[in-house]
Amino acid sequence: MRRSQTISLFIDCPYAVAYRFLADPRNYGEWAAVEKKTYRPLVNGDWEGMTDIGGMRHFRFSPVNDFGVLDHAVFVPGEQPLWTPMRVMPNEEGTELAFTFYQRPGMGDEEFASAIEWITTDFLTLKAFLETRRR
Amino acid sequence: MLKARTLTVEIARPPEVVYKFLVDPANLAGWTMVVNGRPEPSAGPNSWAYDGPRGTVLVHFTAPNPFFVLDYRMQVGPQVIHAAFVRIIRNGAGTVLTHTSVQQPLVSDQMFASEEEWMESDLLVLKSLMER
Repeated sequence: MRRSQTISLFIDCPYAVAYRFLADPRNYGEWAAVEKKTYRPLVNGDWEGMTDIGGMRHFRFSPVNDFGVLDHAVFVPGEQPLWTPMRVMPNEEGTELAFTFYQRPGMGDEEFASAIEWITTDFLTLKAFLETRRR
Repeated sequence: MLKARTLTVEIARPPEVVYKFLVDPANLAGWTMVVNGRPEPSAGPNSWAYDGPRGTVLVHFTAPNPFFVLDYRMQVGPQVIHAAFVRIIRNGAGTVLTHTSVQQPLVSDQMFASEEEWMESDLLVLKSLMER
């Protein structure tokens, strides 16, 4: 079993708005570490794009569902998708978001800690984005 | 905005095994303070009643689903005293359980904090039960 850490945060944006935005793969480039201009859909339903961590990756997303589940996999084409669990949950007029990050094979503890910091920053950006947008 | 707190526990068993155990409301009596579970269809399609230390507790569960979501609400009389979002996620051959409690209106900060401590020990009981 890999080391894992779950990040959770409150977003002052209605659950339905947050879910609708995050569940649409077209919006992934707005908040995740992927270059927007290279990000595009593939014929099999996956997406591809250039990532900040270096290189082209494919992306696969959870089907639309009633549970707020927003798992997505980022993987090197042809390799086994590594799923990242993510979920949004209603909290009165706002939304709770939970995201679990796994220590990648070959990733040291320091690198893991640094990755968590980067991801936390990404989510704070997403939080600000959704709170501005909240419609 | 209600206060929310997320707890996680790692369980060295496949997610399918952990989910199969937890999705059956009858099993709740095996590792928590409640006993004598029985379906309570008048309260909802996935609602069960249990005898707890302070009387009857109604628990409303989530219907079985492919996402391994196990959200629930606990009710005593007319009042929801506890509600949580729960998910079983895969971590290689093991499982991560995430449990997000949302402090219900009328539940004091002190009660919520104490509940979370209980929850943490319940989850550790679940872990050892599953890994046994």
